[in-house]
Amino acid sequence: MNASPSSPAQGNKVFYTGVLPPIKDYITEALIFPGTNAREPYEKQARFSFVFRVISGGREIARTAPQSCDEKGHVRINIDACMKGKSETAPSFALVEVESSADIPVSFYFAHIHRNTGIYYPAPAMMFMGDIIYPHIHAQQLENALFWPGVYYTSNTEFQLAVINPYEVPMSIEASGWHNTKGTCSSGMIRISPQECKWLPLDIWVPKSWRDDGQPISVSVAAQFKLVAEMVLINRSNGVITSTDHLHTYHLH
Amino acid sequence: MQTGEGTICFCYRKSLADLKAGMQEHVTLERLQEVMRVGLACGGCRAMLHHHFGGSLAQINDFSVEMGTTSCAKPGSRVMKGFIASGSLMESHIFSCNAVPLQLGECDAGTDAEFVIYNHAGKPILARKYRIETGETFHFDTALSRLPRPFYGMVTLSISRGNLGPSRFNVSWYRDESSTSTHENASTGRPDVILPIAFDQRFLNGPNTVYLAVQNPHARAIDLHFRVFRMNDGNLYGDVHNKRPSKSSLKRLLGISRRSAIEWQRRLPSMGTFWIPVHEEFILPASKELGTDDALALRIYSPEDNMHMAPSTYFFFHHKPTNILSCNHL
Repeated sequence: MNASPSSPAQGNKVFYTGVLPPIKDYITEALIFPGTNAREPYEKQARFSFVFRVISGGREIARTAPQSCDEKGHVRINIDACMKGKSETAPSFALVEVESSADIPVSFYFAHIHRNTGIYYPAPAMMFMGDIIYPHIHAQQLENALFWPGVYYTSNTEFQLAVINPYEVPMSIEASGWHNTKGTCSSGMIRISPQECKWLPLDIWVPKSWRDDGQPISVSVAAQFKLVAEMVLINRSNGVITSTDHLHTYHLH
Repeated sequence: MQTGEGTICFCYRKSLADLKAGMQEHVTLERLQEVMRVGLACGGCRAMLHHHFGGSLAQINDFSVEMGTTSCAKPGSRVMKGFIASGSLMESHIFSCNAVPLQLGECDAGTDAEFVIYNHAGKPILARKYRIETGETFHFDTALSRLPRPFYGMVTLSISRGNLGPSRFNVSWYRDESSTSTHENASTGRPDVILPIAFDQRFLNGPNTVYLAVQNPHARAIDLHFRVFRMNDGNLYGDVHNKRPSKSSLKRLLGISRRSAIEWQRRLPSMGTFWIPVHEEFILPASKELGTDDALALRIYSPEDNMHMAPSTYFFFHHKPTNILSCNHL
């Protein structure tokens, strides 16, 4: 099934994604040193190129010019430069196209800096298929059933589950909560349109009695395709995000 | 024992109960698929269909890979490892969940677990055994423990099952004002990482302080190198000479008298942890030698080790005006 976020795959192009915080409130950067994976056993004179796209409400609203470097170099991407005069219509996510001339894996992080306070939080860029949905990928691990162990309600932190649909087909998801004595709860079925990012505040779909009893809750989210989902922790006193990180797959083997 | 009404086929909105009822009537999986269409759109539920009902799956599109059998909990064991701290900067709350996807239906995945805390030198100082039932979330809070303070160390959680899932533990590091969280890292596979922070004037004069927690999750010591380099003309991967360069007038004139990188070496014992205030220990001393006109960056690597002997690195930001913490891992 083709579900290309852009053009079909060419060469060694790999796609990465990640939830973006509200662009009016945050500067987002990525500082990437791809050469850390290019040392042994690779030792190839690789080149890397990066295009950073901002997707909001099902469409691309901005993209950076391609940037490239070799094994010993780095690129530093700032999305402010490409966001001038543009605004989000809905929660947005990053879609980063990375080309490596030698199949060298690249790991990188987004840095999100709150404009008013300077509070800084890092988040990993998540690799995903990008071009094609491969149903049989679920044979080894359920990449369409992700978990976050440990939501612990305190007065200072709010939890929101952010789910990205990077494909060009709609996706249905269902989030579930797990309580040690009260069983499970559900968000109900939620449709996510193509290339849409949806934030699901646990304050809305987890029962209040669960949130108030001092017991930890764990969360899962399931869908028909490989999922990209992150848990967002937000400080209740000032609305600033203190971390986002990805959920984990359920391994069958 | 877990029971649930998980959705199996998201495309055609069929739950496990729907499918079990359907099988009563249609007997074979292929016939069930013909009638209910399950597993014939995106194909994402085919492993689940095979898990529950076995037999042959109806083919769709170019789908040609046969699914393997699955179960909720595989025999075996797993050990997970992560960073905890207890002190004035932060406390730590560890969570591991033994839930099974609702789509897998009724499962007994209960597991025995052993929880061990190691101090910064890699010495075990606390060990406890637990039983974690299906769907239960295990948790441990350093604020309620009798750890010495300040404490920085490693926690391991061993479970008696071979497959992971929500059991991969998260740590929430918290203080009165805020909390932040990421997951355990039993083995990162990354012996060479660069902190994704440009230590430029804006950052150095800004409100954030950076800390590193570097851990050795392996059975022997690791020699770690911490290299601070200038980003734009720095020496990321070449040799580093920690002696001051010649101050000859010719070299100064050519602009090559400045050192391009400074490196520190430290040996991290097995199961040990370094807790490092990055500004004080690396960046500020390096900026005196390397200058502050260019952004600096920090590389952490173990030159003698490969991806199977990589350290684990967590990095934390402390926003001093608000006391808010944020974090992630490399």
